[in-house]
Amino acid sequence: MLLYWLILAIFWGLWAATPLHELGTAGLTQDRLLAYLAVTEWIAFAVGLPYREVEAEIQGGTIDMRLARPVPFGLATLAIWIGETACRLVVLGAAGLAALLYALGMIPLTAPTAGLLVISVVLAVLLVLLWHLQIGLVAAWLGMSAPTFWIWQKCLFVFGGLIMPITIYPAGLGAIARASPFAAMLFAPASLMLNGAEQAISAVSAQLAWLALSILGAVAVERGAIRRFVEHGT
Amino acid sequence: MSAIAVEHLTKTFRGRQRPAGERRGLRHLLTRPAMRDVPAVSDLSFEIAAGERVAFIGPNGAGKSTTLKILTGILNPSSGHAAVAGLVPWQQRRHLAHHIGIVFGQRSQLWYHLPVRASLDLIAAIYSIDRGTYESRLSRLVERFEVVDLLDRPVSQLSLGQRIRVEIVAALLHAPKILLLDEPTIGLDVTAKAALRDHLNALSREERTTVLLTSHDTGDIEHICERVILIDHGRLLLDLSLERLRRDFLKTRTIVLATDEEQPRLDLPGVTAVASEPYRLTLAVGVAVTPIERVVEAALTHLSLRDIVIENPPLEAVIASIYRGDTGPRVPP
Repeated sequence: MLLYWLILAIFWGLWAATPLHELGTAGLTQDRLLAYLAVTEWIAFAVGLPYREVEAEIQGGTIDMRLARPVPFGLATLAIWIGETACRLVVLGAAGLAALLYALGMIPLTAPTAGLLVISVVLAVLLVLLWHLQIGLVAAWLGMSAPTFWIWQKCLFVFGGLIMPITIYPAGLGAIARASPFAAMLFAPASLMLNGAEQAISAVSAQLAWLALSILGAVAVERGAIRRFVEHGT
Repeated sequence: MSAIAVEHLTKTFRGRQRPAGERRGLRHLLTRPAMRDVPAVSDLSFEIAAGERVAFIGPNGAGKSTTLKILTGILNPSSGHAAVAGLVPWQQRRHLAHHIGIVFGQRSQLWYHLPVRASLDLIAAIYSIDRGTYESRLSRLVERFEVVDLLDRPVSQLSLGQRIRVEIVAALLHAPKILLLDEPTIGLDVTAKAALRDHLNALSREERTTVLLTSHDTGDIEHICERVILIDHGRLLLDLSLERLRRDFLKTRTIVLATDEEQPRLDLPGVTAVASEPYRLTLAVGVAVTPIERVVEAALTHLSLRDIVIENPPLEAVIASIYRGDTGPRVPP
């Protein structure tokens, strides 16, 4: 939580010294950028690094114990992660709210937009967790997941718009970012802090589409990994 | 119906053979190593009746863990058939999970950072155990395995002995009829081992739980099991009762005689004196040459005995000699 506050404080100071009006994008103020960052970091911190659990289970062989249970491995893993992440979301959400109230004196959201924000954040968290599951399972083939995770994480930071909204990216990079699943994980919910409810429906729709594709991907990766375990051992 | 039935079970792993030598790294990059088959289990067949307690033993790499994995459904065999609780493990893995309990000594099924009770609550939810059944089962098991005081402690703070006891409670929560134990006492001190063996023994007798145990510790086998299945290189070497193993595979037994004679002597074929002290003689008896009864008879005839002790070599020595292949069943006289 302290790190979360520290990051918000650093960027709050940084944007105070940045001539934002020169970016040429309307509506980007120091206040709104702080609110945007509060949402992206809220998601990133709340999810943590759960892929490491799956990686460690594969490397240590304890995945045997999980596979020998009467519930599907992926579903059980996600259920536990969702429970853990929900707790962190509540705590960090309160911390983010407190930070915004302290810095801005208000929250730049209407009540309906706040509702949409909660829905969008939940969808984003589910998406990120589904990817963590797949990244963790990569260890079934490569023996480790960390390299895959680092590449994925850098893509998330850049194409997801962790620090800055992807609307201020150069046209080409912005188009790639918008077409990628990463935008649905961070930018989609955080953009509600910039645009209000204007583009909320399209953002949530994109999230739902990516969620459906990610579920299919996770099922395929889980099946492939389990097929490998039952044929070649763990 | 058998609790476990295995017929001609075979598992062969396929892997690439890495080249040997100093430049193997380079060669490995430039050429694709040839595939090779590594047999782990070969044509293994056995049957275990409900309620039996069986030791499944063999040297490292014999195929014990591979067989256990196949029987739990987490590894597919290359050929052959197996039924556990009437189910084909690799086809009905999730269904089978309700009928078996698993303890792999070095692999935990608990959540490291959670308190023990929270881990057990989660496992109860995973196995869909209703609240009432769970509470009564839990209270009985925590008492039996003496873990009542550990329920509120995080798993990470438990000693190895405590953790293994909790692992067994977790494995038994859903009242499985078959318990598969892979090295359950590995790393435990003597006291913890003894306590765990007593608990397992009592529980399996009370609940008629079928136990299939792999262990390198012959103490586990002697205290818990009544039958031994011995495998090596994936093949069945022996399948017999513990009593018969001792009786038929003892090549040498030791007799200690306490006598009135100051320098006792006993000359018989196949019998050698291994220690001689005043009024005391220790003999190694090759039982294939002279049965132990004849040695006792001769001692009673030729010596004035004050005491006689017949010692068996430890089970470990019997099993080790079978692995080495330097013993076979003793031919009855």
